[in-house]
Amino acid sequence: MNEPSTQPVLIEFESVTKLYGKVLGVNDISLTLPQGAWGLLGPNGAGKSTLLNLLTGQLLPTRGTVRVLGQDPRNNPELMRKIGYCPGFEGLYSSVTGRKWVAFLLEMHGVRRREALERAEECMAVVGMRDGMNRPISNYSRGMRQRTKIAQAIAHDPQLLILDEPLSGLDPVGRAEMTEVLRTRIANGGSLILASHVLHEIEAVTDSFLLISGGRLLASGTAEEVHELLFDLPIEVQIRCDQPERLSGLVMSAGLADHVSLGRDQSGTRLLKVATRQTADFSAQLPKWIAEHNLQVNELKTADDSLQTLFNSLMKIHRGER
Amino acid sequence: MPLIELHNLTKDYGSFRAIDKLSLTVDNGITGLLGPNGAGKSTLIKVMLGLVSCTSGNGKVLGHDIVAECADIRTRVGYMPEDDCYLHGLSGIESVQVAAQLSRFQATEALRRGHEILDFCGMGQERYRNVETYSTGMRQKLRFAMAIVHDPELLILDEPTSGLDPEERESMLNRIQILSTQMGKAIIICTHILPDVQVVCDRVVIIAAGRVTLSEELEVLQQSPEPSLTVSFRGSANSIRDSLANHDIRVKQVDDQTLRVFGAETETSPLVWKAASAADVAIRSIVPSKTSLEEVFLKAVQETTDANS
Amino acid sequence: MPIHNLGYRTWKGPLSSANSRWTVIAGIGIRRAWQSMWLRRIVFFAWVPGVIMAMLIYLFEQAIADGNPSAFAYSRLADMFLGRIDGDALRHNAYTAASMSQDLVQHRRQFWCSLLQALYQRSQLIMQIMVVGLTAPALISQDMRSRAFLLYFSRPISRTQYILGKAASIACYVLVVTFLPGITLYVTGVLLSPDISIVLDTWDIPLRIVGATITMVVPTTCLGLMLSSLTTETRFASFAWFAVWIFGLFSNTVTSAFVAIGGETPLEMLSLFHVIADVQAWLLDVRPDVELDVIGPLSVLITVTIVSLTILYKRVSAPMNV
Repeated sequence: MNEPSTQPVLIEFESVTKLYGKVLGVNDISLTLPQGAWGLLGPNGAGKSTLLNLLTGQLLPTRGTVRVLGQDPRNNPELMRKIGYCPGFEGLYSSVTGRKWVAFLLEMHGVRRREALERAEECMAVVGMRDGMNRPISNYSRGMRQRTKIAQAIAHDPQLLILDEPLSGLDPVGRAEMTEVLRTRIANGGSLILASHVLHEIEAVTDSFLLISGGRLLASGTAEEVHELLFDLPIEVQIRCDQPERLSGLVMSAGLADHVSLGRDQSGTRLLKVATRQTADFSAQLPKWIAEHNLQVNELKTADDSLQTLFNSLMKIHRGER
Repeated sequence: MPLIELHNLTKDYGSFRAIDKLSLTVDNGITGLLGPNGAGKSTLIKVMLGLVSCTSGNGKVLGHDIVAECADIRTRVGYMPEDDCYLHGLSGIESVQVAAQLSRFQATEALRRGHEILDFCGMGQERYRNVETYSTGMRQKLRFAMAIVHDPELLILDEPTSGLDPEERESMLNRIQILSTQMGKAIIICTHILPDVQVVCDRVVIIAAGRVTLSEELEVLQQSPEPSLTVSFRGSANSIRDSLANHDIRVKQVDDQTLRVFGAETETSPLVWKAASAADVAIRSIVPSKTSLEEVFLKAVQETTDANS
Repeated sequence: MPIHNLGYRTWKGPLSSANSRWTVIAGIGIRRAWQSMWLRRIVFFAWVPGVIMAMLIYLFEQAIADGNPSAFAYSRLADMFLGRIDGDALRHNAYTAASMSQDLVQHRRQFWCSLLQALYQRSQLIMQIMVVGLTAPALISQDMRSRAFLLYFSRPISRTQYILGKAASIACYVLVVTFLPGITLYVTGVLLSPDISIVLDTWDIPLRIVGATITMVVPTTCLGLMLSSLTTETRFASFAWFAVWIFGLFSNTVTSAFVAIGGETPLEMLSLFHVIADVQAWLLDVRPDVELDVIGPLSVLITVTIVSLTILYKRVSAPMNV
């Protein structure tokens, strides 16, 4: 990064509410995010775009304050130099070449023309547009336009990258490549906020997420952190073992599980499912049992590790169904 | 008898060759149709539906010739487009009714059947509202409903889950599975979202540069060439890697907390547990390694690019 | 049986004819167009000129019954509505000749024809322009905008069915505004005449009405649909539609001034309104004594129809070929 970040806090929202007339954008969001990579997750119409627009200063909150890197993003060109934004909509000029467009946007940040063109070329190469960068944008396919938008967002080497559905329209090759670009940035110390409703896109890039629905911020953190805080939710562990009955007896007598179930999966293999709230103790005990009783445990899966299951649980709780 | 048989199809748009001597057979079950953008997937679908005529080659869909009997094909096939298309000025239920009527249903029967299908697609009272007031997810459900209302034998779904949020996506995939396993429909899904393919498809077809690069059962594709376990730890895997190496077990480190342990699982697994317990690191998961579909896809596309250059 | 109608069910049943699918498309267009308040008003008021013409027939018959052909109270009213002789041999009405003569009964048939021609030319054609202007522009342009072609043509619908359906939804309203008032006028005339033998004398009038209606309906519907298919913006198509007629009006003003001073020009064909009126005048046999040159106008109408249909077919096929 150009300037090392002195701000430990990336984003601060203080009771932010945004209303469009009667229509709700976001509803009383309070949030303090440290530097790092965050996924912004939520159903359609949940307020993801509103939140991102508040971050980039394009919307003024009806109530509350927004602080990005310690400053108010509204009408703040200084701050905008540190933020890169890849929007969801298509706002590309059609007759210009991709490279020139990225260079033009760079010039708006105050970079001189020659440097801007060089830097634009670099960034277009990074996003895999080396072949297409000198063709007019009207010629581009959807995937190429997405890549160009990403190039423009990273061109001025921002501290914070804000991306609104950056991978939509990309084929699997493109997704893998762009995910790699984002992971490299994170590894090099950049922060990013990635809004998407496709969980795998977020999981591929970062562990930490923000869940928003109906304009309200439901939860934030890693899947594990969130899960630990949700009471009344045991974690389900699936085990393939050669002596499932013995193992289930051991687990129950040690009092480490709410319930166990012995069954078969689709291919007929015997499966043991353990629902436990003491994952740490269970994980510590399991190797001991394996050693003592000579068990063969060849498969162990924690059903709730995926963002999908956590999302489902959270939404159920949110609606009062659990 | 295979449901779709295509032989040496070629389609040129002027000097641009969209499909190049493509041959493909599709049987019952759920087939995932993958490919990079511009590979010819949409053109292929249009040729199958008889919407564009191919420059050369022939084919049969559900036993009907794609050139001569396209009206018959379209009666028995349901197509869900990727684009956000709708019939202007109609409500949800009216759209489905029109869709059924265009497939030769009688008016009242079309309406009745429309309601039934919208129930299956999880659409409630919003079916009486104008389509233009719908969100992306609802429009997608509506397009899906319009594709299945006439009870087709073959479904071609283009990006069925792309605009949907996680809950809706799960439901949509569930419905697709029900239609295939319980109702015996053949389904072709074109998508870029590989995890969807992994969940739902029986078979994968990859199209690149206008040709079929790969056509294989998903299970076969995901089998690892040699047996191995992917072990993920709650902590650093380095010490365990070293101790396993000392036991002469081949180990590959995937990332800081994940190892791939090669060898028969009956032998390797106890050693992994011992090593983890000795290093006081808890195991988060152990699963038999699967080749990720992403790797397969990238490899297939890479091979095509190499072959063409 | 405990499970009745759960989830998805397969379907088996009788199918309707494949060739009547255009009625479905017509139905959509008709219902949508009916939502327009202005269309409803015009359809309602379209009958007013017909009522006035019917009144004239009544007065005509009264005059005959009174036996006093020269003190025609009706002639002043008729002057108001039918106009006087102008220099144009083609378009002035026969009633004036009849009014000169003493023998109304002999000129009854010609009177009716000229009433019909006045009806169509003075009012119904104008109404029809409005009706088509209100229904046609949205029909295909909206479909292009909402990409409905993918939904239509992935079903067993041919382009002909599609176009026929769209044309039918326009034609339905046009017929209500033109054919129905004309036929009603004829029937009124028959009912008001002293004996039923008038039907033998005037049996060709309904056929002429059909011909005149076709002259009005076919070219205008094709033209309206073609304009609708050329753009995705409905208002451009509306504008283009009305511009055609306004342009015709202006050009007619210019050319008739030119003709009035003794010139001759084929540019008279530029006004579609007058072209249609000419062909109708010929069909309705208003002036059997005048030799009308109808080849020009007729070929203009045929050309307009064919060109419109060709362009229409091309535009409807285009989205599929991308």
